[in-house]
Amino acid sequence: MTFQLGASLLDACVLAALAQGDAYGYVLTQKVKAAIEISESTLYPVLRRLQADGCLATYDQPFQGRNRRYYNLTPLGSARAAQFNAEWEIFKTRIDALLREDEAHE
Amino acid sequence: MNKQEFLSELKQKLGRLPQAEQQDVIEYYNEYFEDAGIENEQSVLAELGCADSIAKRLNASYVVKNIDSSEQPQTPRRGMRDIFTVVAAVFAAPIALPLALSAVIVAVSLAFAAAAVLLSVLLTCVAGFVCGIALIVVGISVAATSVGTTLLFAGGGLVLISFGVAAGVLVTWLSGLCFNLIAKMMSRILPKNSQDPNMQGGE
Repeated sequence: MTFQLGASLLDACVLAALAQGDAYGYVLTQKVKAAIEISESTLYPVLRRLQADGCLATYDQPFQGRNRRYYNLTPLGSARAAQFNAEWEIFKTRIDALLREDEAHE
Repeated sequence: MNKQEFLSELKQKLGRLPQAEQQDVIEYYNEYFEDAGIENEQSVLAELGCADSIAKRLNASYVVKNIDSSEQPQTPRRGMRDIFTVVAAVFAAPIALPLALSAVIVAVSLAFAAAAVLLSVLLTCVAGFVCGIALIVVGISVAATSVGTTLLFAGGGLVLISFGVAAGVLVTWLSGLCFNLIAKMMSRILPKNSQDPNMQGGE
């Protein structure tokens, strides 16, 4: 992967993944990994931080005799996710314009 | 290495985290293994890597996050421990060695500079005590000849001792402050590495 993965982009990915539906750690990690190269240990601190910031909440559900912890978005989390989406659109459009412009002149 | 060994090593090394948080970490990773399925245990282990470096990075993040807000007093010992925690995380992190080394060198030189200042204040403290006591002793020894001299010397001695005490208090407070500052500075030099572990991008 050529491009540096900033902390906020990682947050955006996690929030977006959860916007699609509540998920537990393993599934959430696989979802995010589908888009960006991260280690399986990357998400834990991110989830803790988002939770501390009030963007995520957790609840437990029993599964096959053990506990499964699910993460879900709080209203603040949804708002933040929408914000990230908007900013990403702008960012993406600008970079595209620059990179495509480059291509057009080659 | 199997899941149990990984988890116990992790639990063992999370010393800087409070019990509740340690529990959270272990539960998270335990669940992760369970959800991945027994057949995937080895590949998850391979992906997770070293329990030791995960623990170090979690320790460092916690220390850095709580540097200001902790209720524990800023003693020199705690400050030193904080610095060691962050430095350990630097060396555990997958970043270029030159960067890690220079960050550590900066921290170490700052620590030396602080130590030099503290040492001089400490010496002042000791000198105050020693001279103060010596002066009192001398004063008492001439009590037979001149009470006035005794009083003068004794008084002077007490003043010196009080300077010594003041310097002692100053050194304790200053060293706590210095280590605190150095640990904070370290966290600024390495924002990505101590707070966002495992940033694979660009590697």
